[in-house]
Amino acid sequence: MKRLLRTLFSVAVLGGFAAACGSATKTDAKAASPGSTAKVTIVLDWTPNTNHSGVYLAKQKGYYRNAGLDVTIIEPGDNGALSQLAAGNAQFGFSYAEQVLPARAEGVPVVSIAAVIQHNTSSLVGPADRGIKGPADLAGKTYGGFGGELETALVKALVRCDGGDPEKVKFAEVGDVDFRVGFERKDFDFVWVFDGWDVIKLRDLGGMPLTTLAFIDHTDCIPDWYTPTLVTTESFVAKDPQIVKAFLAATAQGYRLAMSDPGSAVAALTAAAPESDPALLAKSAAYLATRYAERPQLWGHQEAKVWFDFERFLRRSGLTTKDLDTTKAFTNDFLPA
Amino acid sequence: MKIPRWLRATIPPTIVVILLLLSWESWVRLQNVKPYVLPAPSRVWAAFWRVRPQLGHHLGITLAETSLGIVLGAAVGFVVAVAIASSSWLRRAIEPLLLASQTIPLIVLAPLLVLWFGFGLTPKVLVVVIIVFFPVSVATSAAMLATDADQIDLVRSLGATRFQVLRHVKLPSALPAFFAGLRISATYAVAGAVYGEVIGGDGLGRFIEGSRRNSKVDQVLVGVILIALLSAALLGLVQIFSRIATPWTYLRNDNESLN
Repeated sequence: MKRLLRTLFSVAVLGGFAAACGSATKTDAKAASPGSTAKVTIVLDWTPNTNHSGVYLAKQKGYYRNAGLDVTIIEPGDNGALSQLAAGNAQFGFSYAEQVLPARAEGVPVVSIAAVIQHNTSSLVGPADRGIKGPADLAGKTYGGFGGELETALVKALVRCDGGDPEKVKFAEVGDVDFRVGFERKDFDFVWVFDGWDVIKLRDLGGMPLTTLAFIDHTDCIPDWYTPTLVTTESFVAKDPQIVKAFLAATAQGYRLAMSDPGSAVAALTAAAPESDPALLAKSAAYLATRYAERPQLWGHQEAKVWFDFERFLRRSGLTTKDLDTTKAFTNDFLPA
Repeated sequence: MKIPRWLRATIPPTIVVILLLLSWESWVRLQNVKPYVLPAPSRVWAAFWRVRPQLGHHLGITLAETSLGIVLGAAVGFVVAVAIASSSWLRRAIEPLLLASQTIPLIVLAPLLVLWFGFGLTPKVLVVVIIVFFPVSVATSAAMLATDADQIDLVRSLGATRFQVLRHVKLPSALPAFFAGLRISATYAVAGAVYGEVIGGDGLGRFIEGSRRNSKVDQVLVGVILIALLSAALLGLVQIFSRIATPWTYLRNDNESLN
């Protein structure tokens, strides 16, 4: 589920587009006055999956409707939500810190309004038989990815911290392939995935013994960051703060239900995307139930230090060149109290 | 015993398809190919049966996009063809642009169309229009320009206006070419709409993409087969219209086949 990185490449294009469009946002949203419903659109970042549980639950259980919102959920391709937000085709979207910060550096006025999962649940994983015990062992191995700069920077940082030679890692651009097939064909030895999706798919459902190196176990070396995160635009925040508040209150209620009752999330997702694998959804929902937030009441909360440290890492690695004020990249102001 | 015509037409492809399916099935079983790499036809059939209730919704959307796109694309192609054929100045002005419109890869264009026109039907219909109008306008305008000069002279000598020449001579003689162009277009149209759906939205493209990301290759192949069937159905429809609009071409073909 490493759908994240391709979008980094389109950020430059996006910046130009946002500049061309100026602040002309053609939102359908009407002010949430009593009795009326506001129409808003949220763009997912990928095919419907358990990261989106709260949104689907809020829609299915009528939390949005009760909040006076008529929410349309849209699935994008790999181009992600930010460009659609910038073009005014949607008001909310799923994104990642590694998209939000470079986009802001390019002048795209997006802002993160809630962390979907409290900590990064990504890992580098490879088949158990490749002899990978720690990050240092990745030297001499082949990484299969999108060829993004962040991928390269993170893998090399991990190898270096663990005492390996980062220059010995081989990088193969493989794109959006089936990882299991790539592993079996020995196209690559390790990839970057979300624990709550691909690890379950490969190991728990596919029976493939895996070695996983969780990013969160190496915060001495690489930063934690918010992935995914809910975003909107600065202009929408300024224009319709009440809608943002109402949307987040209902969405938080959805994620809290996903935490207390993962089965309900599976049901909501299966109803919305029946082409999904129900076994994968069930295991993934159970995995994420304890990870969306430490406590249900804390769902969505973002820490300034996480944004600050991640931005510093991006800049040190040359992924952003501008000095960014990370306090403007996120806000907790619209989360339910 | 005389074999009926329709049987003569359907038996050979049926035999080929059955042979292909049998060898595919046995290859997968003998080689023990993993279902997430290549599922056997029997597994694809089981997947079809399983997802059957979902398919109507996706098919409906893709069908709507494609048919709208074909109708609009045919109309645009026709108008462009008339413009090209009726003035050499217009021809010189439009033709380079026509060619340029076909040089933009869809993989670049479709995401931009979704960006500009949102997630509704519009960007997918536009993708189909762009695919459809070109073969139609090229074939039609070429046929109109190649209209028998003697026929035109004859009608002119009877006092026909420019419009009457177009209406009674050029258009009828270009109709078979128009349909030939449309047949080519209809073959690609569904694939174009599905491509637009993968970029953003709903329909068969979404079903295929969602299935792929759940590692359900059997469902992906169900989608692929549906695209083929939908394309074939649209092609058949074009054929029927073509038969109604230009019966004389089929008459001639039938006579020839009797000889």
